[in-house]
Amino acid sequence: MKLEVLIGSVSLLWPLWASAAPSPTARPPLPATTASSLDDAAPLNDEAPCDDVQAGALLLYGEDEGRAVLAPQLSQRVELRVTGLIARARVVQSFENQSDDVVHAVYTFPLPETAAVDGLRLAVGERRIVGEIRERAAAQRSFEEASQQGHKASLVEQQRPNLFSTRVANIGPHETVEVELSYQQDVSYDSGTFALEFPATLTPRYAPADAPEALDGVTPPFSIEDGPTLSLSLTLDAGVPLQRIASSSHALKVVRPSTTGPVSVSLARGEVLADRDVRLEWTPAPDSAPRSALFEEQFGGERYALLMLLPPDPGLDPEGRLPRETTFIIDTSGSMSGTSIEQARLSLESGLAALRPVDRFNVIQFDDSASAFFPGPVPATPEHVQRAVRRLRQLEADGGTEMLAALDLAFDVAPASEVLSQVVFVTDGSVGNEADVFRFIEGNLGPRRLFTVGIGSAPNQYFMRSAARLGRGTFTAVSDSGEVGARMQALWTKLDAPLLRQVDVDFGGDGRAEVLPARVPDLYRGEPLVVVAKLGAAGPDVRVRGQRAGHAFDAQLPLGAGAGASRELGIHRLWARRQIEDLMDRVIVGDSEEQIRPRVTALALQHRLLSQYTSLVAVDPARTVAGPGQDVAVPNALPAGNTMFGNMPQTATPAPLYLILGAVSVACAWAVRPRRRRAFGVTARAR
Amino acid sequence: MRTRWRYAVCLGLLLLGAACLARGGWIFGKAAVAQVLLRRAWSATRAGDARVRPWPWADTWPVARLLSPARHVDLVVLEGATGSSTAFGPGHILGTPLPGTGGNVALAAHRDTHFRFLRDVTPGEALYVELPDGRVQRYAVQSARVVDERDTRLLQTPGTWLTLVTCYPFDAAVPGGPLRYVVQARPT
Repeated sequence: MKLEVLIGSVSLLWPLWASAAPSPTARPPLPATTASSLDDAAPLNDEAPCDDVQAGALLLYGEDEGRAVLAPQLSQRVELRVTGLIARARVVQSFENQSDDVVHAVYTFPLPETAAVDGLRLAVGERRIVGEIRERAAAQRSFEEASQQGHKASLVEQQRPNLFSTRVANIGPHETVEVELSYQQDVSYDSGTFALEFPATLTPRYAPADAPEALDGVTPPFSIEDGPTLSLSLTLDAGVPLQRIASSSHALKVVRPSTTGPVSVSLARGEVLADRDVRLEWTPAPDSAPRSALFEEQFGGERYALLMLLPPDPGLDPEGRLPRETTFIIDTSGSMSGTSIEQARLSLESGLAALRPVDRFNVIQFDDSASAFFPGPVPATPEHVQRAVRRLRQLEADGGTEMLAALDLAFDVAPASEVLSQVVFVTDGSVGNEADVFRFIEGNLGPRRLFTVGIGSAPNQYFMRSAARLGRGTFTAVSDSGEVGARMQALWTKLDAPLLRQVDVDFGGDGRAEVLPARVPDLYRGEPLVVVAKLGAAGPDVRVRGQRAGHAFDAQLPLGAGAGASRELGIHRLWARRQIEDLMDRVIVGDSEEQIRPRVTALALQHRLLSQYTSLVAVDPARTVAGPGQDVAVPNALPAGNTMFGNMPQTATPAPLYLILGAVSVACAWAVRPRRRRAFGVTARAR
Repeated sequence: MRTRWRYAVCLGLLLLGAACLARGGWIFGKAAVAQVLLRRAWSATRAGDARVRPWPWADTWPVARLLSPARHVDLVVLEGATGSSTAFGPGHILGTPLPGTGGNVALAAHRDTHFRFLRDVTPGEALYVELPDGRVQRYAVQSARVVDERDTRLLQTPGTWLTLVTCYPFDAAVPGGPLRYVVQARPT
């Protein structure tokens, strides 16, 4: 065996040789071994001596000069504060420039897709500069200006509803600059459990070949085994006694000063690599779970309300249950490789097991193209289910993400009447042409309901929530294999019987209350109705009506009872955020952006919110840095369990091995060949 | 007695040796012969047919042709860098843009056969890619790196690139090692 087999991770440097010996047939010296990290592969360029390389740091290459620039080290501190149903977050991103150059850092990061970002502060040493909300182009101009004059400046922009970028100009050599963002989001509630997520990294995206522009600004670099770090603390004032506080993603340290007072929660391991989303859950003690909650607030002369209502369970009548026709779609694209495809398979298997023989089903898998297990929906007989399970176990994750083809196939079957037509979409949402998919769902949904199941440690939640919203279904996140069972079971139980359909929320008065979401989804068991509204001249009561196989549901809640009206809860921001989201949805499904842009801009400026058209900018005019800076992208940590395109392809054949074995065998045969009898015989007799 | 035993061992080893040599040779033979058959499929592709399967049971088709005149390399590139396609020619790594659509086009092939020449390429050296519509794109080699197989960042390099991936080290006897040799070239 050759020596090279024994050499572990090496970097090959042939630039020195390349300039010295230009003969094309000569063999490069093999191999000049340097420090042995993944990231140490050096660019093939004379100006990049290996001294530039530090273990564990990502190297970037300037477009032309090819000089390696060290990305600033990023650590993040997240402080969350929950009051009832509303969470307020402060995220401090600390950029430490470890190089001897002035750098301009760009960091692309996700935030919860319901986050209403409303604050920016730039901290350099002891100085604090408060950012302003401006129209996007104006913010960019003042940032560029400051950047060119050597001032420290920071610009926070929204690239997509759940994807943001921070740019920091003029970070001096070995200097640290802190960017502090604040935002607000609503807490989710499902089947007795409250949940809050902080997304830590991105899922690398795939965009179909014909939509390359969709990837603009959304493919930041990734690093393996290192990346930004994260520490997190949560002050939880749930308003009710808590039975349980847990996280399915991280170990927690929980401090409870009293049974009902605020609880302090932090990550047990302190600072961690930001390679998976943080998911926090809490469960109120039994009987103290809310049946309804109504918060009100005044802002700019308007009343805003947040309503959560848990309709009573009328008791499910098995006779009245409608048969289901469920189409499962499973994403087998490359980004699903690793543990993701395993989770998806488990999820689907539990879904198949939950079907009854009266139900019908089909399974569609897609990567570069989509194919169905059966030509059409088949009855969920044990044989059919077994066949589907067998095929599921053979699936491998490879290839692109042509989601539309799969949806097209699923929506191809006309839904029968008196049947619950459901599409369950299991994916990591790693797709670039979101808009096309949304348009398709909006245009073709009909009576179907689309449920999305997010797989992996950092699924594209915006995509999946939006798809479910447009599909009038729900979104379920499954972040680790251990919880697949429980979470999926909850979904299947839900799918079995919608509690309330055709839900209508009426704030009374002149009917001018602007309620969001405008199209209320079906309600399932354990799931609350959560709406935010700008009330206008609302009546004294909120009325909620709905239908369920024979039952009519009608509930009333008095308005004006909210004593919290004087407190700044930020409901108006949540409302504005949803309103903006709604307007942006209009653009996605075909309205002219020219009409939508001014309305979104006005709303965002009024409520001081970051949006696709408004950005936050902070400039420190007091200090200047000498010398031109380099643009550097700060890499994200690759999501845990995700191997992006999978691994690189296997590109070695066993041919040399066979040839060597063959040669050795022949040589051995030669060695043991039978000699001439006489010579052999003599030897034998002598013994 | 002893002689017969020797005969048996010798014959066994010879058969084993022949089998190994045949299998090793078959890999090289397949790689070479397939390219000849692929040439026909490529001609049909150039004539405007899409997804021309080189033989009826093939699950891949030609998407481009890779040339290095200086090294006498002329290869038909297949769709997909799976084991079943790279036995016959370089494969286009799915998830990266197709040749001719811009972006970072990544191709992979075996270090023992089609991409053996990569160990000798030098910076600035020209590579050509012929597209189904007849256009020919010229690339100049910029860099070569050894990376871990899990490190697929180079497949995501922004901008227009040609990225060629093969196994490293070139002369390792045992396949399946964790390292890849990645050559990147820029259009000129």
